[in-house]
Order: sequence, then structure tokens, then C-alpha cells
Amino acid sequence: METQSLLVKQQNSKTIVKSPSLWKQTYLRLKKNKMAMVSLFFLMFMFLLSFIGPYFSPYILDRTDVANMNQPPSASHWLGTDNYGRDILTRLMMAGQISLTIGIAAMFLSILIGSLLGAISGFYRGIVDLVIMRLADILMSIPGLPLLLMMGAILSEWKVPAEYRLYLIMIMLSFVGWPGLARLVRGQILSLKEQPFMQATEVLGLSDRRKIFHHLIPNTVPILLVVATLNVAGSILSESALSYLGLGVVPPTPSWGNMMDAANNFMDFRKRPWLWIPPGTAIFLTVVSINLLGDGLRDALDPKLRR
Amino acid sequence: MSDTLIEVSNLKKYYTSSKGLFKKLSDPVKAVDGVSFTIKKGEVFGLVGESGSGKSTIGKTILRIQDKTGGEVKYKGQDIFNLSKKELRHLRVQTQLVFQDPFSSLNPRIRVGDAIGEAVVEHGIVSKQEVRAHVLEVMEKCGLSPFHIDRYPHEFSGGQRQRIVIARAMALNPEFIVMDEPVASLDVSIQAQIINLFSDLQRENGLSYLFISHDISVVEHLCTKIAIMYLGNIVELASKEDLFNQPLHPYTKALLSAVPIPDPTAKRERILLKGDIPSPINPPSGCKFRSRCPSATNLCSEKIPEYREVNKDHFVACHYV
Amino acid sequence: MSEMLLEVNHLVTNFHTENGIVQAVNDVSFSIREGETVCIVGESGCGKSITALSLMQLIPENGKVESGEILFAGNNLLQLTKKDIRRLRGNEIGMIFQEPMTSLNPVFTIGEQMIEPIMEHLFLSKKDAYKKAKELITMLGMPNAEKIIQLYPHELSGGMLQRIMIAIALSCNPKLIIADEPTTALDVTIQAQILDLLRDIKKEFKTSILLITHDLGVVAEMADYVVVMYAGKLVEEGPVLELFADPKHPYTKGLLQAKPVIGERKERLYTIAGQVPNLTDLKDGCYFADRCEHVQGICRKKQPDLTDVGQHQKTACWLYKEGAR
Repeated sequence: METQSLLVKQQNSKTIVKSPSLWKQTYLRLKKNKMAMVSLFFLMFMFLLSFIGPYFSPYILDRTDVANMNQPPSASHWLGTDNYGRDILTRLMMAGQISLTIGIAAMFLSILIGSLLGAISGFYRGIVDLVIMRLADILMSIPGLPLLLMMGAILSEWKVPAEYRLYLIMIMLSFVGWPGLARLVRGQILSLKEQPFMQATEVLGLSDRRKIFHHLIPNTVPILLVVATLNVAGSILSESALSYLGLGVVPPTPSWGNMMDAANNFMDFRKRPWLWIPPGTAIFLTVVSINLLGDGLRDALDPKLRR
Repeated sequence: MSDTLIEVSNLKKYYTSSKGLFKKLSDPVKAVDGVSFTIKKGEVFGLVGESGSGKSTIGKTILRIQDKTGGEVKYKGQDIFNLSKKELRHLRVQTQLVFQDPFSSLNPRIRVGDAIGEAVVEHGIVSKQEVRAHVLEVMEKCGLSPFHIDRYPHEFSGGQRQRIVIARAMALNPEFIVMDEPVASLDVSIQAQIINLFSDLQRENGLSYLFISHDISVVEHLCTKIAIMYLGNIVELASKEDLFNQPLHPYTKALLSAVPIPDPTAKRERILLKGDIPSPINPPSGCKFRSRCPSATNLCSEKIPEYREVNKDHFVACHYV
Repeated sequence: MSEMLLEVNHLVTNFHTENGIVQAVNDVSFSIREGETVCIVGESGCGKSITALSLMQLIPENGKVESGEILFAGNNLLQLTKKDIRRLRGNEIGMIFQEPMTSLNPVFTIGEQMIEPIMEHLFLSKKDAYKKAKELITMLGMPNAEKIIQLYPHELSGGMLQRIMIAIALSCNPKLIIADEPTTALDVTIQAQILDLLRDIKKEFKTSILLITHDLGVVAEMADYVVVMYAGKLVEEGPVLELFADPKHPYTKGLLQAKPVIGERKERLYTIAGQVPNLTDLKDGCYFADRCEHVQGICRKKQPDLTDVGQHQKTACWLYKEGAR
């Protein structure tokens, strides 16, 4: 009892207890989520493998080796070789660079376009809102994949060189991705604007700048972060699908999707699983990890949602 | 004392529900339908009414957080809907609002100290270096311990959050505060703490309040002048003594008799009102209260009763007073 | 003396949360006689609603009734099967909740929601059930039952919906009605109507009522017997007249003095300092000790038991213990 009342007294004295910042609290909560942490470490491993791994590979990316065609995994070629004699592991790592870069870049582009247009819509309303939202509606009413296929086919028709296709794919993916984000951000801003604490900023006479940058945006960032994470997974999947169909990243540039193309060939599919299992596994695990991380982030960011 | 602080005359606020491309305008909701009153300096003005009476709408409109449909609101003789941007900013410092829900009226991502201090710095009342000292001083006045300053709102209970909201308002040193059901969501023992805080702050700083509540016993305790609202109109307005000793409007009488009194031995004549509060979209003709009034006549459905001064400073809107 | 209808003995209900175990209801005992209205009063988080839900075994998933017994007409409810409980819920015990809006399903009409329990519990045909529903609506003072029965919940006001909830609770002539803050969401004038209705029901059908509320005014108007709860514990109980005339526990006293009352002009309101303790982190001793004006050494060491004070009144406070001073 004595110690307890002492504790109370201490608290009541001058010691100011500074709560850790909300980002830190989020991180601490995320750290408790095992699935999310495993996913995070796996993703970090994937990044290291893809971006640093190739430097340790004794094989040169596009060098064909007729003597070692279609070799199964062995000590010298850990994941075997493909039908040009290229090392699968090296190609997998390079493909990882491409796929991850496309996924992240496409995410950044769609977030940029989406949140900008969404914020403008939600904040200013009126005719601007009407135009932007109808445009988003139109884009969202066309199924994403066929649209991408069409654009991919056009790229092929125009014979765009392989190295430029990469950038065009990013733009294509973000073109399909922004309407959903714009709607989300707009909805967020609309509902935040009705919150009493936003009314309070009005009563307190805060400037528009402060309202937007100190009150509105910080409250949209958490949800945006979650959606952005999940968006990366979506972009990677779309890119893989396109490349698999030969309409995305085209050989010789490797991507996880176009490496999967081997599964199209009956002989390769039956007899040479080392051609398509590694890229397939890479796509699967990466996407699952990103989704788990996204879910973990959502729970960590909003403690109210948790039970 | 003739120091009129706020003068509201014939204030109207209608809400129209849709403005879509193909939709017709529906009938407006007449949330506030011609309300007049004045609040003097240092006065605690109570506004009582049930849901849909328009009491919160008045609170927000006289601070110009939302637009009016008609009428006039003057603060210190100036029409507040006719202010330049700079003058409006100046008004924001002098008038404040305390919300009903202490949970949603604080930004969850801003620390308590920053929430209290940000407007003070914005308006240049205190410099950035001195703001922390100022915030601590205000917090102490509002019964918050200084070690709370660097915490987030979600770490506090409802009563403490309401203190934070009050501190945020008090930091600007306002002259007039609208209290919109500030204790409705609090428990009785916490409610008493906050009500006492209101009285203390009012007395020490010579503040004027517009105190909006559905709880007449709280209003009676705190206010000097009370207006009773029903469906967008004031039906009776009088000093506290007059209103409770001699209620004139049948609605006021019924309302007073409906409040449960924590005394099982109290014997009271209860006036039970029939039926529900009508919708403000389609209120009854004539006197809006006639559908529930125990003594309504034909006249009440035909003619809107005039809001008039019956005794000195005692206003009523009823044909039969 | 009329017969005992419900007896709750040493009820303990815990919640398992990630912050630890919350003792929502902590060793609570009380009883209700036939035709009696018992009010449980307390502030938010004191366990009054959980007590009511425990009786019906409707507590949320992470909660559990750990021990104690609930005797209803001689049967221990905690030992009944799920099926029996469900039968009991409609037939013998009716329940009314705080939010009439959310207690009714928005996609069914009032009639559909009323006849379903009537058919199930009273074994009536659909036609007869409809007739019964209409009778109930008329009986509760709502004109044109014919029309109301066809409406959807959103087309009715809160007061009307609460009447419908009462009608549903009454439909099978229950012996006990549990009403959890039935008027908190309603306006004062509507609250008066509903309280009046509950009083009439009690008089006419000799129904016992367990009323959960935070409003001492409502308690004074409705109760025969009052139970005051604080932080999951029963701190004081007694007949309404005795308890209001001479409250013993400092918390009950504080509550009664903290509420402004019309006609009683006071300069300042009495306040109870501090806040309700965190239920996951309770100390030894009386839970009210930190807020109590009369706190003494023993209060922080040991929890006081309920002791008789006055004729029928009991309180759990060291002030009234012989030799504790």
C-alpha cells in the first residue's frame, strides 16, 4: 500500500510521461504479430536476393550455354538451367529485380495519381469531383485484366523494344490502379471532414494549410499505407499474368511471369519442373507475404479494429 | 447590464437533402425556424430541447461553422455572416465550441499538448517558445495533470478528454463558449466534476456560455436564463427562477414534470404527453406542439402562436397564456 | 411476503482480454421476488449490464460465467442446456435493450418479428399469432396496430420501437422482464411514457422487473429494491425508500449528491474525486478506496463484506463494520 501511494505521488509530481509516437506504437504492435514479422523478413530476404544476389552469381545473365541445356538442379546450377543453358537461379534473381521494381513503382505511381485526384475531389467537391469520379467510374467499370491485355497487345503491335516495355508496364498498371485509390482517399477525406475534430479546427480558426497537412493527411496516411502495401502484391500479380501471356515484360528480359511461360510447353511442364516451379514459388510467397504484412499493418495501425 | 454579446434575430436554418443531377429538391428540414434571443456578457444561457428541436444547429450556426438560411446573428453588434476573412479569424479567437462527444472531437494523431497549443500559436497569442508553459497553465486550470501533456487522446477516459477539449477552447482565452451537450456522454460522478469546472471557469474569467442540453436539471444548476425549444422554435424563454417557478407553456410544464427526480417519496402530478415528436420535415400546421398538447384547440391548428413577452423578460409562444 | 422468483448467488463473470482478465461481475448476489422491481444502478463499466446478460447467458464470446448460481423459480440457469435456456428466454424471461433501433432486424417488418417468437413459444398458428401481436400493440397504447404491423423498424420512432420491444418481451407472458437501460436512448417526454408503461405492466400482470440503469431519478420512480454496483462489486443494497433516505456507502451518497436536482439550488455540485479504476488492474482492498473521503488504513488492505445496516439494508464498507475502526 505504501509503495502504491508513493507511486501515485510520483506520477502526480513533475515527471512528464511522454507516450511513444504513434508510429512507434504501431511498430511495437507490429512486432508482436508473428506472421507479419515472418513476412517482413521474407520480403527483405527476397529483396536482398534479387538486388545483391546476382553479384555473387558466376553466370552472366543472358549468356547461352548450349552444352548445358535443360540441366536439372545440380551443384553448379542450383536450380538447373533452361533450354538455352542459362542458369535459372541467376535469371530468377534478375527477374525478381524486375518484378519487384515494377510492383513498387506501379504502386507509387498509382498512389501519387490516386491520392492526389482523390484528395482534390474530396476537398473541393463540386464539378472537379464530378469529373474525376466519373472518370474513375468509367475506368473501374472495365475489367482490369482485359484492359491490360489490350494495352499489352498494342505495345506488341507497335514493336516497343523490350527495355522500354518495362516502364510502359508500370504506367499501364498504375493507370488501372489509381481509380480505386482515388475513391478510397476521397471517401476518407469526406468522412474525416465530418468528424467533430475537423469542425474543431474550424472553430479554432486554423489555416487551411494546417487543416490539410496536420489534421487531414496524417489521418489518411495509415490506411493509405495498408492499401499501398496490398497494391504492390496486386501489381506483381498483374505484371506476372501479363508477362506470362507474353504481353508484359518480354524475353530476353526475365520476369517471374515470363519465366513461368515454360509451363505452357507440355514437355517442360511434365519433365522439367525446375523451369517453372522456382518463379511460381517466388510469386506465390512474395504475394502472400505482402498480403500478410498488409493485414498486420492494418491491425497495428488501428488498435480499435482489433478484438 | 446592457452589455449584449450575442444578438440572434429570426435565425433560420433549413437543410435541403439532395442536389443530385436528376433528383428534385425535397422538402427542407426546418431545423431552426425563426429563433430570436440575446445573450449578455457574463450570462450562462441554457438551451433545452429534445432530439430534433434544432438546439445543436443553433449552436453551430451562431458560431458560423455552418451557413444560415435567414435571419441575423450579431456578435458585439457585428453581423458575423458579414465578416471579412481576417475579421472571421479574429472572431474564432473570441468564440469557442465544446462538443458532445469527447472521443471524436480530438484528433487521434495529435498529442494533447499540441492539440491545446496549436491554435494559440497560429493566432500569434503566444510565441512558439512560450507555448508549452501556456499549455501547462491552461491544463492546470482545467484540472489536468501536467504529466498528461505528451500523451495521445486515446489514453484518456471520457471525462479527461472533455477536460482536454475544454482546455483547448480555454487556451485561446475566449469570451463566449458554446457548449453542445458537453456532459451528455459522461457518468454522473464525472459529470459533476465537469459541471463544477464550467462554473469555476465562468466565474474566474467572466465568460458567457450558450449551454445546450437535453437535461433540464443540469441546465437549471448552471444557467441564469433558459430557453425551451420544440421543433425549431423557442416556445418559452425566461430567467431560471421564472421558468421553474412559473412555467407557462404547456410543453415546458410537461417537460419539467417528465424529469425523473431521485427521491422516491416525491409526489408529483405528471403530465404525460401523448405520441411522438413529429418529424421536422413535416411539422403540424399552426402551433407545432398542438399534436401533443393536452389543451390544443382549433385555433392552434390554424394560427401560429406569436412569440411574445408575457411578463418582463418572460417570452412565450402559445395562444392560451 | 411473496415468493422468491430469481436468486443470484455469488455470480462471477470474467472477460479474457489481451490486457488480462477483467472481472466484470465480482461475487454479486441479489434476489427478486414475484411482482417486484429491482434496479441495478451504477456507472458505465460497473458490471450492471454484464450481470443482466449473465442471467440470460448472452455474454459476449470472450466472457464467461466463472462461478455462482442463478436460481430461477428453483432451477439453476447455469446448469440448463442451451435449448432450455432459449425456451426460457422467450417464455419465462423477456428482455428489453437500450437501443431499440439495433435490437430489431431492419429487413423484416414489425409484424414478422413479433409473430415469430409468439408462434414458437405459444405454439400458435400464424393467423392467431398475428392476432395476438395486434392485441399486444393495441394494449401498449399504440393506435392503428393494423398499420404498424406492416411497417419496417426504420419507419418508427425510437419510442415506438421501444414499445414494440416491450410488446415482444411481453408476448409470452413472462414472469420476469429484464430491461437494460430501456430509456437511455429516448427523450425525456418519451422516457416518461415508457416508464409509465412499465409500471402499468407490473401492476396488471404482476411481472417482476429487473431494471438496469444509471439514472437515479429512474430508480427512485421505478424501484422497490435497489442494488448499487461499483467496479463489478455490489456495494450497497436495500429497499428504495430506506436507501434513498439514508444511503450508507460513500459511493451511493456521492452519486446521490453529485446529480443536480430540479428545485435544489446548490452553489457547487458534490463531486467524487478521481475516476473508476481500471478493471484489469485492481488493487487489494476496497475498489472505491482511492476516491473515498472516509478512507482508512484497512480499506486499502482488505475488501469489506456486505453487512447488515438498518432493517433491510446492506452495505460493503468498513465504516459500518464493528471493530474495524
